[in-house]
Amino acid sequence: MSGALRERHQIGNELLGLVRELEQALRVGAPTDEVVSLGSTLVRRAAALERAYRDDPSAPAVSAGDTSSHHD
Amino acid sequence: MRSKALGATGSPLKPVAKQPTEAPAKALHPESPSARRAATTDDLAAPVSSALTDALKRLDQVIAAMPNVHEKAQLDAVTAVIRARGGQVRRTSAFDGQRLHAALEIVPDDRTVLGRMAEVAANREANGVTMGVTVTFSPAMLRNYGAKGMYLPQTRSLYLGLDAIRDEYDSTTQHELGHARQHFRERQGLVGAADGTMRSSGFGGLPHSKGVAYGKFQQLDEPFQFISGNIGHAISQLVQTRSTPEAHAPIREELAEKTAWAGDLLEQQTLIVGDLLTGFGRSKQNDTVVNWNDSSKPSASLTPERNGRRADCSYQLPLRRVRDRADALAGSAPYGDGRANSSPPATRR
Repeated sequence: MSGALRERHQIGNELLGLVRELEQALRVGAPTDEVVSLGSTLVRRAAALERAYRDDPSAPAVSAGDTSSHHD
Repeated sequence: MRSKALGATGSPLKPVAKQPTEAPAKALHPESPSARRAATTDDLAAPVSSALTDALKRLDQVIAAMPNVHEKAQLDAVTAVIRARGGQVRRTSAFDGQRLHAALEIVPDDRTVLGRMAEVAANREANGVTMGVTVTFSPAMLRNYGAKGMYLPQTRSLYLGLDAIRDEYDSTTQHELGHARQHFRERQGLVGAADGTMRSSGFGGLPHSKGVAYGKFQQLDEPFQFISGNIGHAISQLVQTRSTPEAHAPIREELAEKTAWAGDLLEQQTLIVGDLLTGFGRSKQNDTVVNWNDSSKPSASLTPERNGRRADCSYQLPLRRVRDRADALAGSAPYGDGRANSSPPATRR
């Protein structure tokens, strides 16, 4: 597995973990500061993963490179 | 809807008699394409290894322990249907504590849609050039009895719903397959890529929501955009209202909804990322024409490029949902009403 792939995989897993953590925090009524902290981390990591996709030339096309039109 | 036969009672579909398999290999020239195909089928018919048998037992144990009778029935039904419709199927499983991974192997053949998809996924039904289409059973669509399937051009993935498997010559499925074929032709330069002929249809299992096309998993990076946009916005609102805690309750509620959906989207993404990790769909230079004739007829275009590969079809059942629903039954659900296959709250739609 290439370094870039490994990084994407790692961030993706981390993202899932953060989402579940945030879900749990909201479920148990954690303080807002904690929710904000978790949510901010989640958003930052999501942005990192998106960048990792975009910066890796071997990664599959994401929306920026996709010119397909979509309709139902 | 005809698929109610599966979901109403939660009992799996009655397996149908297996379709006839390929011709015996011994009657054919060993180097002929037919012989290679028959040999492949013979190979698939080999006894399942003890490791596989053990894995199957574990899978059955996991399924038996699932609290949700409908999801349990669905997984059982899927394998039963595939066995009947798609020929021979093996199951392997792994349970990592959070998700159940079940690998399904489908025998490529030229008589069924499923088998033909497997042909393509196994690089068989093409004009001799390596190509990649993967066949995936979407948990979202398996949860939605009406869903047929979709094709994702970015990953060249065919996602099959339960009905797509059951109704192998269904027109909707054929429609989706037509898009896949069109896509390859466009890439090959045989058909002009004009007028938006390529599309990806929505995930049938995911409802739409306000302002965001939850139901459309059109782009690979959609979960991340969703998190950045929706969850980021809710977090900003929480920060902005820091001095007025009374305003937090509805924001937190909305955030909880969006977080749950982000989890769902990421789980869908996992299926695709899993494909990507195998190198699938990363080259744009190996596109070729899918020689997809009328699937009701044996293909006349099978190439000698038969390499005996099988299509690996991953089905991942998010056990988080099962746990959440178990919580719901216990009265502590984050969402849902505890019924099997219950729809998400209306606010998500």
